[in-house]
Amino acid sequence: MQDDTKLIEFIKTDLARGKVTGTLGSSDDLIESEILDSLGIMKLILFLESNYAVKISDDDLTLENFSSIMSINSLIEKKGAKP
Amino acid sequence: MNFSLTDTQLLQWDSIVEFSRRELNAEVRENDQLGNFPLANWQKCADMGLLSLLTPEAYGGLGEDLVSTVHSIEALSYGCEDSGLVHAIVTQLCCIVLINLYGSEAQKQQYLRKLSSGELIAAQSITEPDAGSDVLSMRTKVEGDGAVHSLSGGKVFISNGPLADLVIVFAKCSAGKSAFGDISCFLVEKGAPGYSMGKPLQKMGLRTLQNCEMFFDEVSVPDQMMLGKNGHGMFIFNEAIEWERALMTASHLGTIERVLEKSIGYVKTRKQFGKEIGKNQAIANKIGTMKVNLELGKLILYKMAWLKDQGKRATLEASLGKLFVSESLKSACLDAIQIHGGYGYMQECDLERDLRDSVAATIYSGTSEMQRNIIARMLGL
Repeated sequence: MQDDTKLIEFIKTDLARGKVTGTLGSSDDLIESEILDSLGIMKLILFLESNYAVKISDDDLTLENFSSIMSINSLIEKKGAKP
Repeated sequence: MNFSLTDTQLLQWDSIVEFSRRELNAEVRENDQLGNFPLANWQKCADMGLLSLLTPEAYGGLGEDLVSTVHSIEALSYGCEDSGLVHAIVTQLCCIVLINLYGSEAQKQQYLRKLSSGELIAAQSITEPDAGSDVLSMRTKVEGDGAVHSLSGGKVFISNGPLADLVIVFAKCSAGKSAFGDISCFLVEKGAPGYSMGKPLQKMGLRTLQNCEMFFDEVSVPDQMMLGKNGHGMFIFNEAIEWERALMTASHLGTIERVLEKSIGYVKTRKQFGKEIGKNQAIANKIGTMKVNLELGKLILYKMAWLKDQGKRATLEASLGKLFVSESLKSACLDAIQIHGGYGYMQECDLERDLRDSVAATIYSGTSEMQRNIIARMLGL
C-alpha cells in the first residue's frame, strides 16, 4: 500500500483549491465533489507520472481509476509505482 | 543537453526553404486578396513530403519525430510567405497525428496514406458559436452507444472546413462525467447525409486558409468511425492541442525569422540624415527585441517537441510557447511595418499581410488570456 500523504496534499492544495475544508477521505468521490475538473485531471496525471515513475496510458483513463484517492492509489500500485 | 541539430535536419531546412521560395510565393498577394486556397501549392507541399512528416513509415509517411517536424515547419514558414497555406498544412498534420494516436487499424489504413499524399484534406471540428475558450461546454451532441451514433449540432471557424474530405468532430456524449468532459470524437466524411457547411468565412487575415461553419443534422455515424474510446474526447482534445500548439509555434517562429531578416536587410540599406537607419538606437532596439523573442521562442518550442518525443506530456510548455511566440509574432510584424515606414504600410511590401495574418495567432488554439490561465493553474494557483 502506498503512503498517500503526498497524493492527498497535492489534491488538497493544487486541485481542490478551497473545495476541501476538512479531511479528505480516501474513498471520497473526487469527481462528484468537483475536486477534479478537466485541467485538474491533466495535472493529476502529470503529478502521478513524475512522482511515482509510472506511465498513465489511454487505457487507464477511466472514471473508476480516478474517482477517489483509494482508486488512484490502486492504479499506481498496479502500474508499479516507485515513490 | 545537446542543442545541435543533425546534418539531416540542417539539410532538410535548406531544401524546404529553397523549395518554398521557388514554388510557393508566386501569387500569394493575389490569392490573399481573392481569398483563394492554392490547391496546386498544397499538392506541391504534399509531393515534397510536408504532409507526411508525422505519418509512420508503415502508412507511407516519413515517420519523423516532433523535433525534426517542427524544424521543417519552421523552415516552411520561413520560406513560404503564404501563412494561410502553412496553417492549412499544420491543421492536416494535427489530424494525421490524432488518427495515428487514437485511430483503429482500419481507420489508419483507410485514411493516413491518403491524408499524407494530399489526396484527402482533413479538418478538426471543435469550436462552436457558444463554446470557444470554454470548449467543454460544446452543445453538438452524439446519441446512441450502439452500432450507430447520431450526431447533431453546429461548429464554427473550422480551418480547412470548406475543402475537407474528412472531419474529426468532437461532440458531447452520455458516456462520461464532467471531469472527463463527456466528449467523444468521430470521423465524418464529406457527403454524409445530414452534414453540411456554410460558405467560406471572410477574414481579416489568413485569407488563403479556408474556414467555415459546419452543421450536423442527425448525421448517422457508425461505431467504427469513433476515434478513440467513447467519452475520451477530452483527453484526445488535450493531446491534440499540445501537438497543435507545437506546430503552430513552429510556423510562427519561421515567420518571425523571415520578418526579422527582411527588416535587417531594410535598415542596412535605407538611409536617412546621411546614415543607415539601423544605426539609430530606436530602430536597432526593435530588431534586437525580435531576435531575443525568436531565440527564446526556439528554446521553448524545441523543449516542448523534445518532451513529446520522449512520450512525456507538455501541457505547461505548450501554453508557454504558444503564448510567448504568438504575442512575439504580432509584435514583430507591427515593428517591422514601423521600421519600413510608409513602404511597410503598402500592400506590395507584404508586411501588412503578415501583420493581418499574425493577429489570429493570439486567438486560435487558445487565446493568450486562456494560456495565462492555464499557466497559472499549472503552477498551482
